[in-house]
Amino acid sequence: MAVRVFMYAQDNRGLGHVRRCAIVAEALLRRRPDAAVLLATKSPWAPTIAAGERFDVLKLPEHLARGTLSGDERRAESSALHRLRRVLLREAVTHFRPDLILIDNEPLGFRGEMLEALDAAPAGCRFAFGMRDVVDDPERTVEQWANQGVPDALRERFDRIVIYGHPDLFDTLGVYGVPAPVRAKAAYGGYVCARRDDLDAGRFRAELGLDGRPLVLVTGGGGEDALALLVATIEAHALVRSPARLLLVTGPFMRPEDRARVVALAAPAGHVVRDQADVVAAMAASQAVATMGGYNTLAEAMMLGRRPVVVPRATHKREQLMRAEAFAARGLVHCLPPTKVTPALLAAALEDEIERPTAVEAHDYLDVDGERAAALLLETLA
Amino acid sequence: MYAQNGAGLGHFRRCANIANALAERGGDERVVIASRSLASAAAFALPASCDVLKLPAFVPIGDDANGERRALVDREDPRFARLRGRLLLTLLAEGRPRAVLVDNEPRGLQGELVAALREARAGGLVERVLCGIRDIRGRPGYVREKWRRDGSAETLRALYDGVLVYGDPALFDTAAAYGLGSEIAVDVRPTGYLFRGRPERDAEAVRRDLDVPPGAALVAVTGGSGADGRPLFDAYLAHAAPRLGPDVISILVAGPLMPAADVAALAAHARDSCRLVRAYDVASLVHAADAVVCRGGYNSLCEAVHAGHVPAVVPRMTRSGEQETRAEVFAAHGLAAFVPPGRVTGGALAASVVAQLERPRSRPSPFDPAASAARAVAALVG
Repeated sequence: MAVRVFMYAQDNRGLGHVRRCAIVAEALLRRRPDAAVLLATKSPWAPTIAAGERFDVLKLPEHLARGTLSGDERRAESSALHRLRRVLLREAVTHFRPDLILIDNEPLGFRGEMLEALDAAPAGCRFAFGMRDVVDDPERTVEQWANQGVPDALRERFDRIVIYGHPDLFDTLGVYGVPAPVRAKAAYGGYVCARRDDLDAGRFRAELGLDGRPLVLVTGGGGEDALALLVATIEAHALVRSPARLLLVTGPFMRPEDRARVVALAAPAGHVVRDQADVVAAMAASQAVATMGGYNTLAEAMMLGRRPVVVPRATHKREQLMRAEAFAARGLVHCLPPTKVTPALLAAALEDEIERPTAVEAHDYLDVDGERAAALLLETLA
Repeated sequence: MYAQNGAGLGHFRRCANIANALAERGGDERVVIASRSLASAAAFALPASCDVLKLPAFVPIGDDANGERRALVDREDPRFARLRGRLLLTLLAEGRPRAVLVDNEPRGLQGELVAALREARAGGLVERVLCGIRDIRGRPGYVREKWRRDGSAETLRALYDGVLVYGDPALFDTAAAYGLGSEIAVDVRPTGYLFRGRPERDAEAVRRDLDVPPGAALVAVTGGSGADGRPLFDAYLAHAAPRLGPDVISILVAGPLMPAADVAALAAHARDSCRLVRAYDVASLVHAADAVVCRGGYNSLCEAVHAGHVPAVVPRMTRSGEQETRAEVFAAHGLAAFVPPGRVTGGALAASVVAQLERPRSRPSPFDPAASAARAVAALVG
């Protein structure tokens, strides 16, 4: 295999980054039949790719003994595992001998765990950094990057920065104060999502037995913190005049007690609760969508021309709120900030979508199947 | 732990069983399972104290010299075997495990473990290195010769402290058959048969899932992972099913590795009383069934016998003779009915199914998988 690409995707329990990296990997492998891709990640959710022997995953041990340790023990264990991963990544790069390394999300990996691997890369290896549209609050991000040595790394080590976003929606380079010499290496590829030719809204609706009733999809990504959205939507539903039914997707990581609460609240109204679902197929079959501001869900909504109602994640991290506000400014979503959301506002937004469905035109912002990202990455090898 | 399957999921499952038994003792042990397989990691619930290092492999799938479709390990670029070797050594050098348990292949697949074990032993990085093997690996002459030729015998002698035999000398004397503890100087400990003893679903749930009417007899026909299950199913459909009464429902489990073309061909012959399902938890199905037809794989056979059946066993005929030997041994102890593949076209298969249906199963299980796992755990950390 003439071209070897090493990817580092940073997911712990989620699968958003891994999914995006897998889409880009598949595009690379399509464009270069002589290439092989090795994807390193902590996520246990291995992507499947139709490239057989030219693609595989190195899954790194993440954390052991969840929840049973004291603070000191946990720190000791996490630092031992961090050390183990750093050496595993270094050995993997040393012996894989990549021609291109693509690091996702944090230029030096989680707490710098890719540093030794970068140093171990063979001469002539190209380095690329792939980032989403929004990282976090600009001040905090700039400060964190400065502490971690990111500006130097971007200036000195990386040959290319691919932004999986679009400057008309969010000016990533401007917001995070990326200096001119680095900007020259950066390019926007568009929001990455996987093409879907297999969607059958009629069949999906028939399987749910909707009988002509409108369907509202409610999804909070992995589900760790989706309880508030799901509960608020169930409450809002009582205020919606249309006879809509909810499809509530709790996500694989929702706590069992949270899930039980959703099931108990949903049952009397006959709503459907699923742990996991084909969210794109569900979105295509629904009249309205309520979601948090995750990257993949919003990209998929744009692909389907949908305008979701977004209640972004309410933590110290501002990523989802910033993305939702940027999309709302272009009329691509209804944004209801978590501090302001009420069942009445949520009901009004959902009803608006059910009764006056809007087809948003957002294809220019997308990078369907990661084609542009792959092209931008392969340019570095020329 | 090192769990590497050529095909199928048996090895990983066994390591997961032992990791669970270890966790249930409530000690502070941590387990990392190194494996090329990750699809399986999600399928088996691992305890919180256990995570996976998934080793990458870039092995083409194709037809081997015998025309069987399988992973063609010797066509892989040798750099990837070195890469896995380095990752395994890193795991030992950084993780400093108290004990190492290698499942089934003392040298690892493609010998990828040897260099790492040698260095770890020389450097005193590990306290205890054990190899766990199934009751039967093949005919004694074949296995002795293979182990001598491929270096397994020498590796066991030089790098291992002991061998755990997941079997029972009262059924088959593994140590004597293969020269363990005699020609191959290594400590041998039989643990008893070690497999998942508890089905996921109870009998009622299984019958509901599979739509088996009350009063109907249920026959489970399983071909293991399914990679070469087609001939068994063809024979069953042609020669056994037509001889069974109208109140007998046969469920054929294709298995996750059965080629799609075979699944389609078999599905075309299915009828109400004889149905093909792509995948189902075989331990649960066997537990609910009134009769079982299976191949001679370790897990299939143990699960069927544990559930009180005297299953009809049609072994996979290979050069090693593993399944054939196991079928003969189990049959000699009255635990199974051995149906040589050459005789399935006659009445032997149907006769065995009828005999099972006429004689209610009541025999207590000769196995105690929980005690076996406890013995394995004691050998590891005791």
